[in-house]
Amino acid sequence: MASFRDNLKEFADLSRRYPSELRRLKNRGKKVVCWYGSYIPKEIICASGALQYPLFDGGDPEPPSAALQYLLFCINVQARYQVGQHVMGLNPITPIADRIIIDAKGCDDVRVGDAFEYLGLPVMKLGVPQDWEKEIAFKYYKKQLGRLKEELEELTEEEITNRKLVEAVRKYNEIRQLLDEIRRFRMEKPPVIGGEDFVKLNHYALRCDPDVAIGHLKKISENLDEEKSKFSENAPRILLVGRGFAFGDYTLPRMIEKLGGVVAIEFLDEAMIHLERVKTNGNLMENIAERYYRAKVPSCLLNPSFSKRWEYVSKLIEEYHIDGLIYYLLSFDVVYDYEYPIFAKKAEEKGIPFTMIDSAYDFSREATETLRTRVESFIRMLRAE
Amino acid sequence: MENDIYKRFLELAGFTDPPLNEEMDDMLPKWKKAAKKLGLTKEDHKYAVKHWIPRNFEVNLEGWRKTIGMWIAEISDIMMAKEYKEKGKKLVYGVIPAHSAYYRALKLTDPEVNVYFPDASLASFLNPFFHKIAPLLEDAEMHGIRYGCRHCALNKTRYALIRKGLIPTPDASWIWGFACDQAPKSDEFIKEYFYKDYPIIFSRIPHDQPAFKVEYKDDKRVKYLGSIMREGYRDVCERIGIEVEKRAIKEAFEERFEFILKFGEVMRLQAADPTPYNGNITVFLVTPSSTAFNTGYKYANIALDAVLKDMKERVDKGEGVVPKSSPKAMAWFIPYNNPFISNMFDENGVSLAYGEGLLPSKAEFEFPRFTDPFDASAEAFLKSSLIVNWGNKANLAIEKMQTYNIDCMIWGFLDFDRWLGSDHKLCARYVEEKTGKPSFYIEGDIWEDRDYSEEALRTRIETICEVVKARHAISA
Repeated sequence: MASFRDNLKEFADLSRRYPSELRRLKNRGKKVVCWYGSYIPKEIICASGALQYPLFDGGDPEPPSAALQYLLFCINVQARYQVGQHVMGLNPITPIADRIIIDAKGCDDVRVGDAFEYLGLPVMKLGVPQDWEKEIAFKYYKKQLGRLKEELEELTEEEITNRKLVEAVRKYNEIRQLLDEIRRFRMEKPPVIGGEDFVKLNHYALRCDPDVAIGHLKKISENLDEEKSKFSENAPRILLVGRGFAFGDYTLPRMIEKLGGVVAIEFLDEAMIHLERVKTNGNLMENIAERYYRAKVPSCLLNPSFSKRWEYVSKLIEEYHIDGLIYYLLSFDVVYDYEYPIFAKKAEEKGIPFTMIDSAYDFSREATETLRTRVESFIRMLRAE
Repeated sequence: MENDIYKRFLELAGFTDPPLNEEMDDMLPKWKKAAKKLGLTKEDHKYAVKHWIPRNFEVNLEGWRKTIGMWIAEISDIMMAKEYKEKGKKLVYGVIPAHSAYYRALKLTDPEVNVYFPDASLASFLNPFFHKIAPLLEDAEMHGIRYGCRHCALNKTRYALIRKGLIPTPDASWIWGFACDQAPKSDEFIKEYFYKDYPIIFSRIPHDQPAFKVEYKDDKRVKYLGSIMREGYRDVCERIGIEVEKRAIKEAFEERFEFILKFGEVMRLQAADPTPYNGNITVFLVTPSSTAFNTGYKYANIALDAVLKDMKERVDKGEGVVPKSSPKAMAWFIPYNNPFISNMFDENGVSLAYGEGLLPSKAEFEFPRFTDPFDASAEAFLKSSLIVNWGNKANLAIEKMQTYNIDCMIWGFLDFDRWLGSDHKLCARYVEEKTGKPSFYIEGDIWEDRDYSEEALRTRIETICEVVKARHAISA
């Protein structure tokens, strides 16, 4: 029986080969659809027969700088990364993409779409009204999903039938189910799987054919019972909160776990597979809209969201026996920059130690050592408590 | 003696000129009280009167004095908001960009409702006339809104005003997040971080339109925006417990329209050679039509008449702020809060005469397709470049450059603004490609100058002006 580590490595290798696989299939006439933002239903892209490719790379300071000829410096570093990465010729897929779908829920994300439009890429902006509690906003989002479906049908010249949608929904629900099962192992003390690995599992599952992802997640899930935890019994349990870790940006969770802590759970808006399932009975497009817009915890960018999001964080703190909270803030991410002091205040009221780590994707020796000191101090403090 | 400096200040603000002179006795104690609340000391007044205002504004012109007077009247009123609330008045706050007529309609329905755009008003006053917005910004930065993230100065100002108790919490804060995420999220921040009963009404629209789409022509877009405005308005009325009369909405729109129509003459006169007035006047003067003034249009109309009189005199005499035949530039948004910037252009022989938003586009002369007031104002909103896609915005600038024979386009001064300013680099490139005329992006902040001092901008502006003059000479 292969160990968790072997399975993870195999999954990682497959995921890394995914871009070359896409290029190969593109040459055979398949359509490639990139997407940027967690309000874009993967199920609809999958049902269209197009190959999906999520954009959320990061972790290197050069691409954000390269984007400055098109975007302001105060656009968040993650958004700038997408543009800079394309400009520098580092993204293997954006130049061949048949569509790049951007969820238009925040100004910075829309500006990624704008810069791509300027650079001649085939962009579609999916409207996500931020005032999500209003009925009129939900109707708008549903219409946008209808528009997305039509546009993909036109692109692939294939009708997205109900049968295809059911199949796609089932696939992604199964991925969610498997990740949910794996996640439960994290409740154990010490957990069998930490944050770095879980974030990677999400990333690999996103950058992969869904059937392949299901196969690998199954193998991992089935074998976790036999796995021994690499963490110590009394490792401080940390909750990570923020917009998200980019593909390739694993320094913080890795550092936490190397320095004696464990990321017991994370609450991230982007580049994660949120575990709420899509209902399979009734009108599927309606169910998808419900799942992506109203059933999940609202993104930080929506209005209102801070209070609901803290409710969810509080629940995670209880369920996962959290000792400390780290807010991972991307540089110039203005709305998240409003959330972190609120969470800091609420964490203090709750008696949960809190710290914020700001990242401009600068992992130079100096920056990394500063980060290490901060993380180490935080973990020591948690241990002392 | 103690009153002298305040009196001198009010004199610079036209309160010794008729008809404002009749209000001097009333205004003096009101202003002293407002100034005290705002932390404006006698020393600050001395600096403003002797140095800052004369250096940045042509206060020898009655029009400028009365424009400052218009602002003083509104600021004094805002700073009495606490007393008004204690006496039972309802307060409704707004942020820019919003449609001022709806706020005015609330006031016209019930005079016991006061409407303010506190941050836009205070920010537009403290820096230009006292060079002193920083204490409010620093207060916000010390209490949750980090300096390092480049948050908008307006949101910081609003938060600081409320946090310091300089203005009370309103009965409704109607936040139009049609442009950026920051304003509505700032209010949510205030609610969650500072005052949990902060009464917010959100009105938002997603920016999902493709580049170059002419948004006002899309009926669905107009209708959706109209519905969002209608819902927001209904919620505000419910919250403050009034039922707005249709008469009041009509009256508010007519009042605004009349003012804008008359203001159009200012823009027409700015086309004279040489440009008669510094471009800053256009923004200071037109503000009551974009941010509802609780004092209404009374002082604005007095100022407007005086400015028009000055302009006509200068045009008749062939005088202006630049030498004859100087090139004219258009800024997407004239950085009026740092008045030295526009002056610097004038000093270097390029008149920064216009703000893009204040010059009407061809579309604005088209007959409205919608009769419902909310749909009609949505349509009008989408005819401007404020909330539309970057391609639409750039094409509007191109159209106006051609229509009004403008030599150069200036983008920027909105480096903090994730919506209004964040496509300016794209627009600057596109406009230059399409027009062949210089189109520059200048890093800066329209509201404050802590990061972009006068000296830091001087070389950049001088260089730009040299290029514009050279290109103008070639094309002449």
